[in-house]
Amino acid sequence: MSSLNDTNQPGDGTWRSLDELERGGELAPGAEHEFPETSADSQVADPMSRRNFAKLMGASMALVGVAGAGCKRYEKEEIVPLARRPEDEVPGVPRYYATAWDFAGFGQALVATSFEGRPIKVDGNAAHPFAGGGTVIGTERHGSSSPLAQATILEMYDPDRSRTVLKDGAGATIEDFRAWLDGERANLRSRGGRVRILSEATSSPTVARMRAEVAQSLPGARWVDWEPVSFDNERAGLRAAFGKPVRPLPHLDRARTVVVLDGDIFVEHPAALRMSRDWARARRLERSSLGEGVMGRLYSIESTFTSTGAVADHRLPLRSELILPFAMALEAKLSGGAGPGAEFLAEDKIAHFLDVMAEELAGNRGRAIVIAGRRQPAAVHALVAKINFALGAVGSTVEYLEDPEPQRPDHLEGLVRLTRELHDKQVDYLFILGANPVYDAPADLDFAGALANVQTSVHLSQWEDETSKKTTWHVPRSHYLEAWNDVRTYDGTITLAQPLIEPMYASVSILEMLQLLTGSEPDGFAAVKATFDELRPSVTWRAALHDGFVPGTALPVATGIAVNQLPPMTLTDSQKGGTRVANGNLEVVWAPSMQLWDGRFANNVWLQETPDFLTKVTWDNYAMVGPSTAKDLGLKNDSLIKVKVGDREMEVACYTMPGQAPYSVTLVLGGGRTSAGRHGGDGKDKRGFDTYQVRASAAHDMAAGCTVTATGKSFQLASVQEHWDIRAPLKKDVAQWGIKNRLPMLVRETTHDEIKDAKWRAEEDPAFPLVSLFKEKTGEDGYPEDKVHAWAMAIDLGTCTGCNACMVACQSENNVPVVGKTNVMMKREMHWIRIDRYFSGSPDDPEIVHQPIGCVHCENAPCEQVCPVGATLHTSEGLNDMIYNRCIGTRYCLNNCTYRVRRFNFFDYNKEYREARNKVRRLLFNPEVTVRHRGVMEKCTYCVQRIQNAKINAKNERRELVDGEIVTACQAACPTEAIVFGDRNDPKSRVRRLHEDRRAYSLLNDEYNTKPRTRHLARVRNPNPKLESTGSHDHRGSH
Amino acid sequence: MSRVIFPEWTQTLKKATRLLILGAPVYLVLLIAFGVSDGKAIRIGYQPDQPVPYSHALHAGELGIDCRYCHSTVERAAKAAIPPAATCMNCHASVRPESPLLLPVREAFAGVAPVRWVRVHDLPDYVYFNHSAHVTRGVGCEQCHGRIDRMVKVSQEAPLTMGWCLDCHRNPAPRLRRPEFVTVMGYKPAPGEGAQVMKELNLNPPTNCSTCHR
Repeated sequence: MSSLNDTNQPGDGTWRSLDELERGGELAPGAEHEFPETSADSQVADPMSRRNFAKLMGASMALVGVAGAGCKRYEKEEIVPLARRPEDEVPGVPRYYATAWDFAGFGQALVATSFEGRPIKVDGNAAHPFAGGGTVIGTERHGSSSPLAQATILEMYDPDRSRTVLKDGAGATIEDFRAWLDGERANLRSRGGRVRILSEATSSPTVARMRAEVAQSLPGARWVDWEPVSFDNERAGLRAAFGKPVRPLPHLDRARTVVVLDGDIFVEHPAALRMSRDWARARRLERSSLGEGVMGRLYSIESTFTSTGAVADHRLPLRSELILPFAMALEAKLSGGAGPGAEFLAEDKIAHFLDVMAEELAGNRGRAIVIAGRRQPAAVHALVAKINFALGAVGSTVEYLEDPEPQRPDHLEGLVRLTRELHDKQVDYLFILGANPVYDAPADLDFAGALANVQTSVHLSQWEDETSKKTTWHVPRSHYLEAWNDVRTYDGTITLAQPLIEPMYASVSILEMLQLLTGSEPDGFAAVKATFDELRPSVTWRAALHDGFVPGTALPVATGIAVNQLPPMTLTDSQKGGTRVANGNLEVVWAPSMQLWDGRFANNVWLQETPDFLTKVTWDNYAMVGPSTAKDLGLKNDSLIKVKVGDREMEVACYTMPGQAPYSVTLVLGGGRTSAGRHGGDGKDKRGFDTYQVRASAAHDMAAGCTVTATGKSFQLASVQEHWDIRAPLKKDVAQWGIKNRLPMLVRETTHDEIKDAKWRAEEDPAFPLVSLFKEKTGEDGYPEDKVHAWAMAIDLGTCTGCNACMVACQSENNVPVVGKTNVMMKREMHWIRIDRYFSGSPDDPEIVHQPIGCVHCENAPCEQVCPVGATLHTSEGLNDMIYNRCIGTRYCLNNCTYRVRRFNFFDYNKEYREARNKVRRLLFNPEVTVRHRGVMEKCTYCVQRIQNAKINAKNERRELVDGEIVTACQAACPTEAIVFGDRNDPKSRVRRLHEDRRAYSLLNDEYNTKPRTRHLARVRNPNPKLESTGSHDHRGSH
Repeated sequence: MSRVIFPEWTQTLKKATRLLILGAPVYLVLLIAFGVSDGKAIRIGYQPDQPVPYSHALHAGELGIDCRYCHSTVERAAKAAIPPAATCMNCHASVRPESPLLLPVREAFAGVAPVRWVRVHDLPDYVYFNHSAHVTRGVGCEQCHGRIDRMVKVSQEAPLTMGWCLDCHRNPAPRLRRPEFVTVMGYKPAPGEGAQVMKELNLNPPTNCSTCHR
């Protein structure tokens, strides 16, 4: 690791991984190849070896000769129309329904696309008052969705879903269950005090109403909510500060200065989509280039690198446990009191950071806000409330809303009490609704052991998971698109969830289970409708259902709140110490995986294969350790380390993450499932690590006094960070100098100050005329402005938060296959859009630059020139078409692609969906997009299916296309509208304006003259001049 | 020098060559018979049996029912949509309500089992053809489907190959008519009508790959 130290000099350029930095800036061996050189041991296990293939080919040739029948028609195909077609139903035309998804206690307003009765895609609901709205005020409404929401559609068609009721592990029917329930009803009633209901958090007003009914029919029964990744610390802190629980609703668009203390407001937070949009509003001014007005500034102080830290103007890596003294010092600075006097606060860098930040906050009274992350203890949240009051933020940049369920015990507290009762044999009947506590309850509670003390337990779950295996009954749960429900979005707006399809298996929803419990007929619709009627809403049921929400139901702003006298806060020794601690005093924090969350998405292959924005790791979870800490403790990337928390220890893969706070170890949750399904870990195949093993209730979000040791065993993580490196093709000619200096040209950045100069442009005129080796499309052959559309895209690097929503949305829209961990390690991942992420500066405190990139549809496309069979050609509208049926798989096109955006089907990745058991998965395919077979290239098409359909419809209606009518899948999902698509030949189109923006530049165009149709918009940072840029390397110049 | 002595194995080669020469004509005949056929997709005259002997000649020809009465989505959607049994029953509730030939339709309407029609015009799955894009631009039904009004049992009239599609996309004018007459069978467009329609509707049929292949 000595070389790491040698190159650990500021100003050394940019790098994609620590390995690259260690190599002294050399790219990964073989980076110039799209795929690793194949050797015998790197061959993916495939029965079709070359020799077998030759044998079979010979045999099949012979067979062809025998069969001989060349002129056979396609298989006979049947058309089976409905007996009665519903009104307005047009076969083959998708329909859209507003619905909602209840996720970890917060609703997400969605619109589902239904194709001939089967839902195939979900998007955000643009009409929703909280979830909808564009980043540019006055433009088209925009609804965005998270990658998790996008991927929920896959869970419906998951072949591993539970399909039958189980009693003691043996098959039963829902009638058996109902018969049992009816038989026990008298007992349930008389022993109501010994009945418990453990539910995943739900925001449903109908569930809340049903709870009262359950309490009536089973007197004494108690209800417990449980979420392993909970936002209840904030609730507890605000309850301490205000005397009642409230829910903070930040308005980042009104804020000049945003300070985030150890939290991720752009991906993890339940209002992340809204906050992303609001933040982007404060960063972007349409018409004039971004940054000419007043631009917000974001500070992030965090232990683990998050999206928030990545886009922050200033980031300070700091152990999570030190946030409390840091917040105390900040509060003291603002109020003029005495700080906590912790040793680390006197360290130069931190002291300076704190001074400058506090000064800026004080100077922006009423326009500043401080937000603390979910991991932080209640004390920090209380303190932050006090700071926000002092800053005059309340009512301006933050509103405190009434809590919808003020009496609800906090998740952890509820579960601890329940488990104690279970251990004490005080519970006879336990109904578990949705949650998976056997897997994710704190390790010290021994929930599985406690469960054995219950006379009868019932688990309602979409999979036969760890908890189902330990309960008496397992009842399959309906997917949210199969059942009626209602939810509240973060602001409280009641949002209706209508089913898109009848349950595919004999399943029930939480609502229906509650109805069964109270002895009524399961009828989710009736329950939701009854709740709606009780609201006495201003709109009709049909209108609310159509729009997806009930207007005017947002939570009221809490009135008459004032910050109580906070109890004195005591600091532990390590909180009083410095940033450097010895092994044995390390901090461990738990973070939900941005793909698998708490593990519930473990069997979701789309999410398993989505690279984490920052680590770029797929298919596993891991422990993150900072580079200098790793060096100090002798830990290596891709090795197993032993993490000891209290008296529990576990082995986990180590990922050395640049920017991870020193002496802080982050354990990512969500792996090591033993009963998730075939892809997420089923007990035989291991997938990731069960980091709940060391998570105890006393130190649930972070633990101090931990020890980490190397084991010497290696564990290869499938990280894509060195794949598709567009710097690589440049390497040979331009040598080391080129690589170092190339990045600022790939990912251009500027500062708020720089852009004030009206002459500043991201792209300078080329020093010499751009010529092409190929015949360029000019004149009549070109793209004449008046004649045709010129499809184009603009990607704003300034507002991209790296949330990955575009990647999953694209996967869902375009039937992009999943290849599995082994293939990912061979650079064979298939995503049509990727997010390149580069570090710069010192490994312990780097800056991040990132860039979403798909096919840029070059007008002078290098790929087209080398295809021997004309399988990739240009359209008159500037699309670079890929014709799968012509492709013979030479891969020359990828080899010649400047941007490395083409993907090759090495195998028939959809093969398993032809098996009878998995056939259900085929229902998810988007019928508008060809499912590709083995041996062909594929790549981003700009969602050509959407373009064609929009064009046809416009012409059917004898009108022109309207700008904004065609929205690509990635654009629709993007929370910050960083991706804009449209017709560049339309002078009024948004994409045209963005292409002509001063920030716009064409990637690598001045070298290759490819004339890409996707132009990127340079990122604008807004650093505080008093603070040095966190990453000390200055690469902001446009050239 | 005496004559060249070839090695022993060339005798086998000689035999093999002879066999090849003799076999070539047979191979060629077989190649032409089976290999150079009209291909998978081309099956002009394909005329499968349908579960109900529905006669277009009777309904569209003799009775003069407009195509769009049954294929009601043709102007709005990619699919021309085979009508639901309910459409048949609009008339057949009172016209020949007892006919044994209509039993499958009545059964479908009663919810017993849907009618399983056999697809006649079948394009490969990677082709995205859109009826509305053609019908609303003045491509008559008969242009591709032929004189449906004379078919007792529908058969495939046109080759439905890519070359055949492109013929028209490259030179659409002679095959266009005023869109209001698309369902008229045996329509004779006036001279210059197609060109006129092209101009009025600003038609510019694309020949890009992604027009049909996505």
